[in-house]
Amino acid sequence: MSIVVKSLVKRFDTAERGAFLAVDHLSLAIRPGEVYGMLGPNGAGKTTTLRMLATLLSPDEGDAEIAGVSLRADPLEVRRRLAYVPAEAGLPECLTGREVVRLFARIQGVASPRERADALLEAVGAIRYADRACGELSTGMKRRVVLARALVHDPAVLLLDEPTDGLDVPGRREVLALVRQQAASGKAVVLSSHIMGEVERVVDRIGVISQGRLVAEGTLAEVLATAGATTLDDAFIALTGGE
Amino acid sequence: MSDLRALAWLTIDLVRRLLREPQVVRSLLWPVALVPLTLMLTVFAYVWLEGDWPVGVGPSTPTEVVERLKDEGFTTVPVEAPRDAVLTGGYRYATDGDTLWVSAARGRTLQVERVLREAKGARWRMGPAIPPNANEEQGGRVMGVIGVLFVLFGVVFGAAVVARDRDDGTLEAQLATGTARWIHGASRWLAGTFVLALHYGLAILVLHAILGVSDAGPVTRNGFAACSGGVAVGLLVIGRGGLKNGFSGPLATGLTVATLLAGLGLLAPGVARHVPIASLLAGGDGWTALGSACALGGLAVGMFTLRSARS
Repeated sequence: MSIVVKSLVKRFDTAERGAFLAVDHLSLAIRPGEVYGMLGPNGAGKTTTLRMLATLLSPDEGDAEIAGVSLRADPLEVRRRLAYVPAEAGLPECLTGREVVRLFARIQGVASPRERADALLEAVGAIRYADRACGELSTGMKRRVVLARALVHDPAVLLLDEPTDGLDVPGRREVLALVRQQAASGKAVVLSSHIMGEVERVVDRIGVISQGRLVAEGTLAEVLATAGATTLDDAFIALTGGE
Repeated sequence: MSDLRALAWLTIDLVRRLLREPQVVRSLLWPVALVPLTLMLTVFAYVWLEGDWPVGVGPSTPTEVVERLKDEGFTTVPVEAPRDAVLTGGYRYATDGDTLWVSAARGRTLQVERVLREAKGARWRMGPAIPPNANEEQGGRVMGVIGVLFVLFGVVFGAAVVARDRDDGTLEAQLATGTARWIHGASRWLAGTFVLALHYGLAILVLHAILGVSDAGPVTRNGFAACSGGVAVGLLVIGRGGLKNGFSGPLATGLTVATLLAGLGLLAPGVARHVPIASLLAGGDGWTALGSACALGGLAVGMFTLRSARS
């Protein structure tokens, strides 16, 4: 397994909501080459789970293994084996896409960082505007650069938080095609989304999260059967209580 | 080794980003430009006030006095009543050979007085004016004040390089890479210090060319310590390594701390000369302040690392 999540728990205590469980004993396992769609309404705990897996948040209980390395035992090694793509692009406006990808290659000790960065920008279709400042790029262009940046150290696991957020239809299709392509090369991909259509098209399995708990999991057919629904939209509403 | 390489690349990247931002460069060049501008305005005002006013000479003024005044570079104009000439505002100085009437005492007035005394063979007379030397101590003091401006910029930089990257997702993307967390704090501290020190060094060069800066070594070291200390204070106050707190509140705290430290330099110079920022106005050789600034930077980086790991 590329990702094994074992009873992960995260609590928050905020002024608005008080103390609450953002992730409630979540367990799941994802194979290499698999695209796993993490579905759930806003605030269900998808981003918190991804951020814990990326070692940006420390879990209160439980553990996870990323490519065989425990999150708690060796977070640095975990980070070396994964790439996390947050919902925000995280691209400095005054740097070019090429500079950003090269920087990430260099700080992660990639051999021949210039060649690697250029090859990836070419692969994701961003080479044409690689020398334009990131502040001048459209959302779709930024997504491609961000994907190149994430893949630069050839991670075994790819965590994508709302990767198609803000994209138009062609942009979505292109990004999802890139996701499929990465899975085909053996990477485990976790993709969080609340857009049912894109999830149906690209994922191998679905996990539906509601109030921090995994309420259904399986292939599209299995989730539909669990919810007793004919479409993923209906299944989503049935499983999450229409939150 | 790989950590140091990552640190170097992240620092270079951040320096490049800071120097590409017109607002950053403008704000740092402003104090550098302020020095010559202020000095030029002062010189202009001085020359305008001093002026090349003619000396009114009454009918009874001996020719010898008139000739001596001309030799000293004055223009002499015959007037009927020297006292009235000054009273009516037409002249700043006028003489009848025995008395000198002036409307205000300035350097040139003393020069006229000297000519008169010499011509009259007075028992005491003034020697020729000695041109002022460049007042190098003043240069050091001005650099202290400019240094305080750089400290305030340093606090803003230290806080902003975290807050801005936090808000646009850059920090999160960097923290999720396979690099040690301390590298991201250290690169921000080093880059902020470098960019500030670069402009502070430029300010010293400009001021030294115009006014002269005595003990340029200690002034430079204290200034670099202050720049580094300012960035460290900014990093210390910004809060959870990026992670959640706002910007304005921590920034206000940082600016207050920096201002208090600068004030310490005037209140307790004995202690302050070892403290970065405070040593700007307290003097000292700058070595211990530089060492303390490195320690403060280390503390800021350590805090950043802890906070980002706990978030």
